[in-house]
Amino acid sequence: MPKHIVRLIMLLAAIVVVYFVGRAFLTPKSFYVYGHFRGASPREIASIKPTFLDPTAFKESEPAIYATWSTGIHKVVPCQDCHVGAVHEGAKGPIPRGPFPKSSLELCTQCHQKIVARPGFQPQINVALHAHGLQCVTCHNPHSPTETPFGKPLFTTSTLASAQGNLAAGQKLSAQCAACHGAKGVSTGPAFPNLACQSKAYLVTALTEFQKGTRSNPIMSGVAKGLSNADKLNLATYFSSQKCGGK
Amino acid sequence: MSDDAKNPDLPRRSFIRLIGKWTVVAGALSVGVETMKHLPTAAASESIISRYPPQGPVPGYNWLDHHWAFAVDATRCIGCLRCVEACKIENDVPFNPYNTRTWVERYVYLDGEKEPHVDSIDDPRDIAAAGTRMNYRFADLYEGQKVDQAFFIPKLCNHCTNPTCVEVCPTGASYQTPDGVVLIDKTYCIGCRYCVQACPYGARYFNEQTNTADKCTWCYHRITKGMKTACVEACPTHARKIGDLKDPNSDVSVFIRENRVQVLKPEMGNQPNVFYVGLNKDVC
Ligand code: HEC
Ligand code: HEC
Ligand code: HEC
Ligand code: HEC
Repeated sequence: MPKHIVRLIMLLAAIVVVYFVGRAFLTPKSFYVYGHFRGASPREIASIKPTFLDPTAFKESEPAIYATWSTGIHKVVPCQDCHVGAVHEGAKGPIPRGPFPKSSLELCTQCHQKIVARPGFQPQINVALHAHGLQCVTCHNPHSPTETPFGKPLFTTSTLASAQGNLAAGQKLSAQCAACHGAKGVSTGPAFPNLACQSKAYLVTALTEFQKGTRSNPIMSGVAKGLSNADKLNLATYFSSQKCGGK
Repeated sequence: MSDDAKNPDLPRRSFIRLIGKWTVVAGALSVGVETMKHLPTAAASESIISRYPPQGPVPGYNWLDHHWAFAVDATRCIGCLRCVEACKIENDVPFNPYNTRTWVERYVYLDGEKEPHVDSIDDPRDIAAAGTRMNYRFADLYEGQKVDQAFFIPKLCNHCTNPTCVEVCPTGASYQTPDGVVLIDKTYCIGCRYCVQACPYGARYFNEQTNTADKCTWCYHRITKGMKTACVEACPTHARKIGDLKDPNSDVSVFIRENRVQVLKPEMGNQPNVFYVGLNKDVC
């Protein structure tokens, strides 16, 4: 056999040997155990520690908040929907003390802002009209939003919003308000909020807050002081029935 | 005078040299074959058996007992994107609007138009509304326009019965487990991105932090512990469900039984395992 052919054969043989030896050493032991993949890989993936926890995980560390939450309407919203993002701000421990995003105007509106495509069963608000730039948590307890942050019912769908006031009585009383808020609730200047087409319960709550001092404004605190509960309801009934923008 | 000259056909010395060389080759080959023979023997050795039993390598979990599937009731989706955020935190997905393991699309049909407007969290207008790239929301687009129809469609990896991504993977980094989950072995992925291209659903993305392909695992580290996936846990309206098809009472089995479910792009032949209610002909 000519020498150069022999050399070629030897070279090929050497390559084959290197291939098989290399393959024997480089292929992980668990490869091909279950198929064309490393058998250890599913175990490695399965060993990652879960971080998004079931709300019951906080039952013991936050008993009071857990109790409020689990009896309120937000019990469908797990704690970490509002709290988990804070992990990214470097917070330690299972539940960061504050929610994320920090401003409830950004947090709550993720689910409650009225936008196209959001289905009708989800309670939605026009943020500008409803909150007037106030944080949602000034009026709503985030853990049970049908209550105030102080545990009093803010509204039950049956009471405030559905209570019928007297429209005519409200219209009569509204004369006191016309100078600033306009006869039909469309205000006379940018300093005065529109009241037309605002929700009834919102108006009652706002007036009550001016009375109590939980919301303060030198003018409105004075105006609201003299109003009875019936007056508030009648005024709210009148203004809420007016067309937005007075049209 | 050399031997060759005396006996040109096959001189003794050359013969011996040739025999010697072939012995070396044959020896080397037999070593190779022997190593090959050793491979299965090693795999069959006791320690391998106990670490890799037929029930799967995950301790305390038998993958022969499960077949996972996912269901989405798109009519319940409120587009709050809590699933996207929960998934990113749970699975170390980069916090930017472009890389997602699960995402939500909004389809809007304006009055008089045939084609829908589709946007997701990577739409510049939605990024602007969120204010920060750490936080996601659907902006109040289309305000004041007349909208015929609009809805949200949550999406994620379909964990197909015939996964194209696994087929194209050159290294065995993408694989399918017997319990119906398609996974990525990050230590074996060479970052060639064939799979990202091959997926008909755009479910894979390239993770610049790890330099590997990445996608939804149906939270394999949670479902193997009996938990639900992070996105299912986060959903406030139960639009998402994970369940075991081998358990007739699991959320998904019940959902498939009680609804006329559809899958995305059935014509591709991938046989997806995410079952939807609330799709229309334009959703793909
Ligand atoms: C809908 C969103 C939401 C959900 C769901 C929610 N929280 Fe909160 N949480 C908030 C907000 C907003 C605040 C801040 C309240 C404030 O600023 O007055 C808060 C505050 C807290 C605080 C700090 C209170 C304090 O007095 O310092 C704790 C602790 C807490 N939440 C625990 C929980 C736990 C436990 C759960 C689940 C059982 C939960 N939260 C679910 C939104 C939420
Ligand atoms: C992850 C989404 C989500 C977030 C964030 C969220 N909510 Fe809710 N909220 C819901 C859902 C879902 C319901 C409806 C529950 C039901 O109908 O059973 C609800 C109900 C409510 C209701 C009762 C509405 C009604 O008509 O009965 C109020 C009020 C409310 N939320 C206020 C808030 C406030 C304030 C915040 C911010 C602290 C907030 N929500 C954050 C999902 C959310
Ligand atoms: C000034 C107090 C106040 C503020 C601030 C406020 N709310 Fe309300 N909210 C109310 C009252 C009162 C009601 C009940 C009556 C009604 O339907 O308007 C209510 C009702 C709601 C409802 C139920 C509406 C429905 O139609 O079922 C939602 C949702 C809601 N608020 C969310 C929010 C969110 C989100 C914010 C922050 C962006 C917010 N609220 C800020 C007082 C407030
Ligand atoms: C002298 C001018 C003036 C008169 C008269 C007046 N208001 Fe106001 N009102 C204001 C101003 C200013 C504010 C804004 C207060 C603030 O935002 O802190 C306000 C706020 C309010 C709000 C809260 C609105 C919101 O969007 O949060 C209500 C409700 C309201 N007024 C009701 C009334 C009623 C009812 C009357 C008549 C009985 C009345 N006001 C009379 C000046 C007036």
